[in-house]
Amino acid sequence: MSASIPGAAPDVPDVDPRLEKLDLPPFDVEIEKGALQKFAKALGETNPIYFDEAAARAAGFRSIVAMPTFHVVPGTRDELTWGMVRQLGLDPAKILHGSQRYVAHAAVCAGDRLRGRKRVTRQYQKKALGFIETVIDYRDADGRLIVEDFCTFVVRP
Amino acid sequence: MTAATSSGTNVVDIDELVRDINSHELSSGPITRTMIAIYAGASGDYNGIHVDSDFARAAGLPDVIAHGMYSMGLLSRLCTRLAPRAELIEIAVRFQAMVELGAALTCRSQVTGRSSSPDGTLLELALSARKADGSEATAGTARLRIRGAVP
Repeated sequence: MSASIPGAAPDVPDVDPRLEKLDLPPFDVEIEKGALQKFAKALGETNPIYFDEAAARAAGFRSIVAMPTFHVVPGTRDELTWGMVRQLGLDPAKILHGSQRYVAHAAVCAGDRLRGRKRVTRQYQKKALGFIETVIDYRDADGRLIVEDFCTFVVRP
Repeated sequence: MTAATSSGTNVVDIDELVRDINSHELSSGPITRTMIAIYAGASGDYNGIHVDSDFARAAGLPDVIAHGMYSMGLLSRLCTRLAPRAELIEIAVRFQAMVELGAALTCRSQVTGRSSSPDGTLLELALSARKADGSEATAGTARLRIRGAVP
């Protein structure tokens, strides 16, 4: 399944060069009020637009607003994370989250329906570590780009 | 202070907002197993290093650790508290150090840039979550958009 990186040291973890071609099927996300509220509460958020429908509407939103890092929630579904790791023959215990970036093109609110598409954009070795960069694009029913999720994870030897 | 425009919307005083952003601090308090468990449930990330002490120890850790994404969520709160007058359009962080049980993170922001666009004012922020010893667990940047004319 995985192939050695030419020129890599013997103790370097193998990262499959076919990762760059890996394309995961699109997935649908329904933004649920309860999930938004639970997430905001877990972070100790106090701004009512993230909890309360009336407050959100008074502030000009359609409904309760998703916090900026809420998009971790659809991204943690098994087939996208551990499913992908298993497919590639990587050891989950060796994977670390290196960096994370979200770009918000529009507010996301309870009731919104989005379609997500994940792909690997880059993979490389640096010294003894493997790096895998992924992006998930979330679009609305009209195909407009709403949120982008850029992630780098690190594969330890 | 804010001023009402003829359209009735309040205009944000950017200088005051910048002072607020630069001076505001947010602390997690000591991070407990329960806080980590609640975040695991809310985020859907049940990685054993966060929810299972035996798994964490087998992976070489002293015990379970907090999610990096938890620290990113705390940093986002430096901006979400300003919504809706300021809109977070981008947030990016690097996870630099593990956050162990009992650690308390202090989150701070600093305005590093300011520009005008047709939509309003854009602020660039530096974000930092530090442990009690001053070491940086998670750090990065954010961009805020404040709509409307600047007086």
